[in-house]
Amino acid sequence: MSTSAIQSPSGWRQQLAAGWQKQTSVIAALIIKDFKLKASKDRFGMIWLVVDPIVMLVMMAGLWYLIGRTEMEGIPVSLYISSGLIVYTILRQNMTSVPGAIKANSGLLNYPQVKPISCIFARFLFELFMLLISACILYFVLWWSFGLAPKYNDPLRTCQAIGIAMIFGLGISLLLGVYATLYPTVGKLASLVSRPLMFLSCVIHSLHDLPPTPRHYMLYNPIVHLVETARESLFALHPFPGVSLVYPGIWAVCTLGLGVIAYYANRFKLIRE
Amino acid sequence: MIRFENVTKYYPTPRGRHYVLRDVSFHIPMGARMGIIGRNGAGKTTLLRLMGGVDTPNAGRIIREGHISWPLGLGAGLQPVMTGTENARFCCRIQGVPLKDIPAMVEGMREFSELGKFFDLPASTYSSGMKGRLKFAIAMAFDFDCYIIDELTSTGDASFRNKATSVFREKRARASFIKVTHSLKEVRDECNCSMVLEKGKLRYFDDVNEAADFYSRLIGGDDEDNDVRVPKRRSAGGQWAAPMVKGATPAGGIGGNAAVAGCHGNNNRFNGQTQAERKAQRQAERRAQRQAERRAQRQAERQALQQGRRAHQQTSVAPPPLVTSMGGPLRSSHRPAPMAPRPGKGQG
Repeated sequence: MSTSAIQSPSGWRQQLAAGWQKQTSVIAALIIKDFKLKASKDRFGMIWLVVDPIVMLVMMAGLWYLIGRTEMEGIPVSLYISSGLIVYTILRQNMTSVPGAIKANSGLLNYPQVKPISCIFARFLFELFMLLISACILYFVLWWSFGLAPKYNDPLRTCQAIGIAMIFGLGISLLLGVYATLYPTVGKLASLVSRPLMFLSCVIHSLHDLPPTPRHYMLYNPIVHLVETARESLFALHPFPGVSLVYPGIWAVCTLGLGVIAYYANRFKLIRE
Repeated sequence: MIRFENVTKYYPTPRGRHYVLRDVSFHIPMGARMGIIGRNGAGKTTLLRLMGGVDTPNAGRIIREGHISWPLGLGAGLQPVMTGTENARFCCRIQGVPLKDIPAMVEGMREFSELGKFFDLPASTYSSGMKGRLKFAIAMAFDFDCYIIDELTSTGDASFRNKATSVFREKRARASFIKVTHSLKEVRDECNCSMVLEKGKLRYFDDVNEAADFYSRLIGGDDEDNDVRVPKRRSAGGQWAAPMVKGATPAGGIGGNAAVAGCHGNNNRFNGQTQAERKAQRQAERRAQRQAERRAQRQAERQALQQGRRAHQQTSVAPPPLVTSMGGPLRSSHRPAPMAPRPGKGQG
């Protein structure tokens, strides 16, 4: 029996190490549990998770092709949309699926090791991993069948955009996870808001397509900045004036801070739920 | 092992705070076999959740040392969508068991639980007895220093209960336990100390027989409390208690009023009373009779108890020491409670 992690540690350093070990094993167990659940409950569910962004892309790109538009800013439509779609999907997952994690694992909160925040972390990492797989498949298919590939001219900047999207997403999922568990209406509102967000975030069209006035208002949306940055760094486009990573960065840090505060304030209430 | 320091725990309810513990301090040492008794809703499960580190107090702090189990209860603890195997594995993982040891442990749990093919089916397909079996099998696979048991050992059919008891007896030799139970016999047989939880107060007993006596007296003497408390509350809200009292005096009560009303010529009346009114009167009479019977019975019981208590005191058994209380210590006892020091004086 491994009691090493549980025997009362003496110094703060050991205590921190023991806590870290405990929490990582809990999160790992929760992630494996999520995988098993998806795999065993519904075989199609697992495939669907991977295929979902691809289907979305096919639909949206197909629409543009039907209208007769094959290029945006000189980039093939399917490739152009795919980049924005991935950034957007990170955030959408954190608005829809991640906040439900606490409720889904409520039976396991009986174990003192499992905290509500570990449920959120586990689901967050699980969804990211699934997205990574589907993004790889998506780009591989695009490259294999159509010979389309991004230029990757500034990978570091792409990583920055995705990293900020992840932090932003984690903040959103913490906030929603706490309040949607306490007040179910909040969760419904969030999924309602997330629906038109795809069109408000320039995912399926370019910022250049819009007239100046809506463009001005669109730039208040931090997701637009992330999507545009990801595009310009992937496809070597000219940076759109006014688009920066600082603005969404501030949003991300603020949301994460608020999320942590909300969790800290309600951490006992969540266990009682 | 588990030390409570000025712990207060309450739940906010629409009718104000419901206190489970009020400023409670105690220390449960290694080797304790604690039986916690109390009425339904007294807060026993909450107390165990606090001990197990699942819940947190609203004030004060709880220090837990050693390898203490999670609260082994009938309620939560299984994820319904996962199979028995997956639940078992999950528990192993979160307890930090090395990966290579997990399959062997899970096999042990499978054998012990005797669930057969259901061990590989989702926990939502289990009956409550089967869930209990699985949880017990999982818990017994670990060697804790202290088991916190919320009525889990009293689950399942006779054969499983026997098996569980024998396994648990082995564990008991090395580990201490804290258990909640309603059976005073169990407390007398298995425990070496006991606590009675009642209205935010915890009473500690060194002698389990004393605890059992105290508890049965507490339940028996329940109506003494109610006589003082209930009328006060009801007279303030005063909705349904009042007609019941009136009904107890049928002469001037409902019947009389109905007769007066009958003069106004209502077709539905028969002998000055509606059927509903007659029914109500009959019920009221019956109720009054029953109340009178009950009152007489209670009085007889009380007398018997007082006699018993007198006999009890003559054999010089001290009244149970009060470990904690809200309004100052009531320590009139001449016998100190060795395992429950007062706050601040710290032992061990």
